[in-house]
Amino acid sequence: MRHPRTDVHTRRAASLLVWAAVLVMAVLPVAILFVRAIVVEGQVNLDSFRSVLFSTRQWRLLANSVLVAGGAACLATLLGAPAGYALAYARVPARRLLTALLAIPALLPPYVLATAWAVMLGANGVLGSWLGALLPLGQARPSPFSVPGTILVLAFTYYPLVTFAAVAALSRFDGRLEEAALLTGARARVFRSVVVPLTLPSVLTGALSVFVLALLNFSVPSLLQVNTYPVELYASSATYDFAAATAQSLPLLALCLIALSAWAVVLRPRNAWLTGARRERSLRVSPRVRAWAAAGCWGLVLLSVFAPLASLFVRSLPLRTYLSVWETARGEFGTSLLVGVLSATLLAGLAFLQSALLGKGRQAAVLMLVELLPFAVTGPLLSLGLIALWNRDGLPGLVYDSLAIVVLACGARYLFIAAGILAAGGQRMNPRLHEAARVQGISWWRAMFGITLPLQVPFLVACWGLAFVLAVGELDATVLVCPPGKTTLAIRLFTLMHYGPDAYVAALSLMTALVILCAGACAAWAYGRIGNTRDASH
Amino acid sequence: MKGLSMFKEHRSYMRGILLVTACAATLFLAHGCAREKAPAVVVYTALDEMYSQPILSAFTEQTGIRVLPVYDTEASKTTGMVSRLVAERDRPRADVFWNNETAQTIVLKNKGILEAYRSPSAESIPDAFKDPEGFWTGFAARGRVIIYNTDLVKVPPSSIRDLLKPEWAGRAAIAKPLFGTTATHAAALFAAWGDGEAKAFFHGLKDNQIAVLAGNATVRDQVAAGEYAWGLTDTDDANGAVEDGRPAKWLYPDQGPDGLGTLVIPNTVALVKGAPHPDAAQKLIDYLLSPQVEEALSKMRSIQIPLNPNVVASERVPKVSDTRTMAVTFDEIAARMESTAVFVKEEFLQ
Repeated sequence: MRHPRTDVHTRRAASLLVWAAVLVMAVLPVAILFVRAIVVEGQVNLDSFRSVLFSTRQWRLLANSVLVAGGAACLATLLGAPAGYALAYARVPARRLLTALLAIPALLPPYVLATAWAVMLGANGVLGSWLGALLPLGQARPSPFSVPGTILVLAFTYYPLVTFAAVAALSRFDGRLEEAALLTGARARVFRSVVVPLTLPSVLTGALSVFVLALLNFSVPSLLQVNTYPVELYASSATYDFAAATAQSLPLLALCLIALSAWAVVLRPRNAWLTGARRERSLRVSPRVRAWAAAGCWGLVLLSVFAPLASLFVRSLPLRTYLSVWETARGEFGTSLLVGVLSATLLAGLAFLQSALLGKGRQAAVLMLVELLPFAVTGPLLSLGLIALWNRDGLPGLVYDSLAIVVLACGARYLFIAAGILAAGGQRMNPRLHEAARVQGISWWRAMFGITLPLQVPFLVACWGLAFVLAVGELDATVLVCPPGKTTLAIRLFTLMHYGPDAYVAALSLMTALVILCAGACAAWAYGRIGNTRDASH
Repeated sequence: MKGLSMFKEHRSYMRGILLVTACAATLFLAHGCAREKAPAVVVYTALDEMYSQPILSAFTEQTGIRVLPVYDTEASKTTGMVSRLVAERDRPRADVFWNNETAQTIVLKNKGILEAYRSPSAESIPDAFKDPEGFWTGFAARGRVIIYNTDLVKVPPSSIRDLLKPEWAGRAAIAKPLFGTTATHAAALFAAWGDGEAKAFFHGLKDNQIAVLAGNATVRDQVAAGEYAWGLTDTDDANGAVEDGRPAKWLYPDQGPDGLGTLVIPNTVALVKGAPHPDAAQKLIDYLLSPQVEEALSKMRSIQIPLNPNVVASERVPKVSDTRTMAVTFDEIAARMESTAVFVKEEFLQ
């Protein structure tokens, strides 16, 4: 039998390693920027922060950013929440297919969808010409290159987060509550006063995620010419004022922390009503409601998936364009797949170790907060921090001169999300399993790999798949650090997009989308195959 | 026991992930080892990939030196790349900076990021397009032009000041004057007119609802598509629309006897201070300044204007000697870049 103290030491050493990895990957690139912005020629100097944070321009920027993010969150909720209820409550026909189709916008890089919407809403686009004909003569056609256009694109990109938050809440909803309520009230009233209030915290969690993602998005407002904080940060680095760019990340950090606190204090406790155990609802909604719900879902799929992809396909014709894309962008496909696989494995591995070692204690909460930093300071600023940290002689230089820096950029940016997924998995673990193993004298390491790992496989697969999708589409943090002679698909696409959505760009966008969707489908299939282990983990 | 059986059940998925990762890691290492074998030169280039890539490939064919390029995105033309060069100054990774304009190159010179190098290939290039201290050399220029839609405009505008006329309110476009040649053009206007007049001009653009688009190529596309009647862009972009047979033509603005003249902006090439491969870098600079490169660039869609008088360009390429150019030096323009960028950011990034 292994001595318990050895176990404690091993676990402590492993925890320290996880802390060290997170610090190097996520904290130091951000910290180095703040130190350089604050300490100027050996003296503490807060001038950049004062001049940036106390200017009236900041209030305009803040208003713009909150308007775009808040508008996107509201519209995404209006689109996504009814779809979620239609899938999981009304149980519309072909809901597995609909679920898969409704997930597509969130899997595609936002700049691909922005290009597609710009095509659709342009003067010659399907929606643009239709809207132009509907409007009274002389009235300007709504342009995608505006705040409402940006809100629309971001909402149609991120609404699946709200949909799946609603689906997740309903899958954990104890159907007996509804059955009991039906004894005293009509069905519509029960839905309004029992089902919606109990699932609302989850829906609002989805809306909050949309708010944060829209707030931090650089590529869509940049493409659509709307100034938000991430765009301003990039423009500040255009005048080589790295200290000002760093200072401007503070309002973003503050907004993210407010959103996180709102979730932790207000929304999370209210989720306690959901039991966490799947109990099939025996009640069925009326066929009429189901039909309406199904029509709504298909309408949303048509507008958010088929229409953008079809407009890109039409723009990409003739078909030989695809051959030309393949011949000229093969290298970029290879680089992106490599970066995607390595980033996903790094993220899933680190997030698993973090979840298994630190559990759900205070350390884990602090670590999650720390991991928010590189996510919240936006990609362009993170890449400047990565240059400052890794572009040095010796081992850091080897990392900086290779694709490893791109992997680290993706890792730093999405560690927060990966850790969140594995933390959710860790919370479902029954602590008694480990206690039983300890009583049997099984070492902590063996228990981790023999008990925790197998039970966490569904979450690991989900985390790996999502991390792969995010890394392949990542642009913001990689655009300044990609090593010479190497380009990812995202960077090449973004470079070409500014020449306008021509056939080549449309074909490359669709092929990128195809790669991402294949990876997403594989991960979803694997998750579906092994996701039935949930009950065993309780 | 349930955990163990589940582990066996799901082992295949974990194996799959680990196998894919192992393959990726092997590829990654193999790629890293292979990289060091051939001599290489790293170039950061702001010239569009479609024009710069064939030139760089020809250099590799001729010398056997591999070129590792970093291309800039249209959205952040030059500026993102210059930010990277500034951020990497303590340990430069670039050997050569091939810019598609002058101002940002001079900013880099003033920040101590460039190294002086007088290329023997640059002897025939006029002094006006070379840095007196040898930190950069100009070649293959572009001009700022008015592009107009022939279906929408019968009498084309002749001056950039026409952007302020009420008849063009909301019907003309420029690129965001924070990046690329439009930023250089904005700084040139500040240098030529002084702060007061230049600021009044840019305020006038806003009052007249002149559209500010992502880049010069977008201005070209939107004018050719009829979204806007006319706009300001570069010769290379404008020529693309004409060659594609779209309803567009272009002309140089302010060419009258008392006119302001247009801005002619050369490509610039410079050696980066502390370049990891200085010998290969000098060879690449010599190659880029050779007559054959200017000739090749003039024959492309971009119709870049040769500066070396020994290069015979085709008829469709406008000559610098026939054009009235703005009476400002590149150093004067560069001195205005940062203050202009601050003003423009305040005015146009709302």
